[in-house]
Amino acid sequence: MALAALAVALAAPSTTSALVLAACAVVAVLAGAGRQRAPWRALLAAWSLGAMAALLRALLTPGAPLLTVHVGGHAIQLSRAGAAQGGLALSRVLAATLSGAWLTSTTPFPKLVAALAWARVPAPLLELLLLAHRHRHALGDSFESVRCAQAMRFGYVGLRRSIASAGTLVGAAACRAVDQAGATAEAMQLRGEHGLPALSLALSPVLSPVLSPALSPDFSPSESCTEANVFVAGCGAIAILASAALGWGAPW
Amino acid sequence: MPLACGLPGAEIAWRARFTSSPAARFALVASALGALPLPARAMHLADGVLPLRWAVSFAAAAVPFVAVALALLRRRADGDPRLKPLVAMVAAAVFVLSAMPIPVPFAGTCSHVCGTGLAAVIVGPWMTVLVAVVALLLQAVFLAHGGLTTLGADVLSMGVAGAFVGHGAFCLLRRARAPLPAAAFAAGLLSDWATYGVTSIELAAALHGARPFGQVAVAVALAFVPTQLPLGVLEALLTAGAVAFIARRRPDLVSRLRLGTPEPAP
Repeated sequence: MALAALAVALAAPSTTSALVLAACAVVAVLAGAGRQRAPWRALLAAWSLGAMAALLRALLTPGAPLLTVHVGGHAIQLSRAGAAQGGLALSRVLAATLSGAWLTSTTPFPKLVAALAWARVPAPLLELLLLAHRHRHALGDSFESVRCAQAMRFGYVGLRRSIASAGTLVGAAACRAVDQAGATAEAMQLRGEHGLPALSLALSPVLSPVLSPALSPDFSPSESCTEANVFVAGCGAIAILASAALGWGAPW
Repeated sequence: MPLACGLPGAEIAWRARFTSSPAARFALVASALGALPLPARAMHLADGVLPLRWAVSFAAAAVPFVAVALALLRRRADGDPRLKPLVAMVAAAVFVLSAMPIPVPFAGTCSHVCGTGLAAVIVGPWMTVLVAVVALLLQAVFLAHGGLTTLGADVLSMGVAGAFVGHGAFCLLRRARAPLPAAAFAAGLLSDWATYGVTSIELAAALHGARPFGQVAVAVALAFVPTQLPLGVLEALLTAGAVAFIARRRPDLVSRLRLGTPEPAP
């Protein structure tokens, strides 16, 4: 549902339909992920880039003048068509980023990987994705402990010390990554790992704890019909239908 | 009928002619970007920034690079079982590095390193394409940073342009017998700037509309300068510091990873 919303957001024909989709996505994110887990701060950063792109779009679209502002001896003119295009671009960014947040905050990572496997994404790429996902926490913890130790020793006092400490930190992370890769390769060899050529038929012992919930043959659709899931799916359906309906009759 | 604007201090005039000065647009865009009190995470395009056809086009352009990199991975992994875990771990490290905010001097904002230059030095440019795919996907899913529909464009800028430019600079300087940290500095600097250059081109291609493409590309690239010029230097310093640390503390890794040795042709 969220994937469909993402596709609709990119092709939204009008500002109104994109904003309706964005509003429904907000409701779905809040219902599915909760206020605490929703990635609002990261979305703000994405919206700043969206605002810049919308501004560019608005200023670069010629047409009948709407507004002229003089800044530092230069006249910057906004056209009526530019304002419409900029508004549409910004609303699309809002709708698309919120739909993306809806997808990622309500879908567990193994299910996303299972969906990628279903979409015939090559097995080695999925294997890399799962390995990186499994080890990101360990690497992150190691990275954080080194950074804390450096900070305790005044490693981040002054620009020169900060740069030297950060370089050491990145170097230590790289060494840790290489060592961890060696250990993982040995463990995989000892377990008789041969990658993921038959992902849907037989899961490897290393990857099965991660993938089995999503690919289990015992998976029952009725079990996933919880109240929250039905509510989120309903929001999605309303969003997509409303967006399509508004798009057909939109003025611009 | 045009609407009136009530901005205090701003000289408002209604004019029939459309001013096409790129400097004026750059001034406005750069000041708008600089005025936003948000982390400057502009190196990865967010969902919705690119129109659908451009998102699909960039994804199609990135697919051949990913396919070649996967074919190389399959071939090399038969002889070296450590390669796959190494690529995955470097991707995880790039993901972790991308979560580290760095204050950008003079810009009053925060950003983060790409990590592409260091990855290209460690695993080579083709494997860095895969590192970028995995790291960008994890960033989009877990940090809401970048986007799923803009993954192709982001892989082209960071994984292809950043990796090949960074690795090329590193190899050229190593062949010229430059010290390891100096070559790593150039790799970090040029890979970061190449990433931003290609991102500017992608944005300009998607957004230029009726205006000349080159003019828009220059304006977007200039808008990135206040944050990316210092950030590129910072990334270069971090890459050089990291490689110097590896060479000093773990010289075995320098020979094992064959740092500075050109990657075999695909």
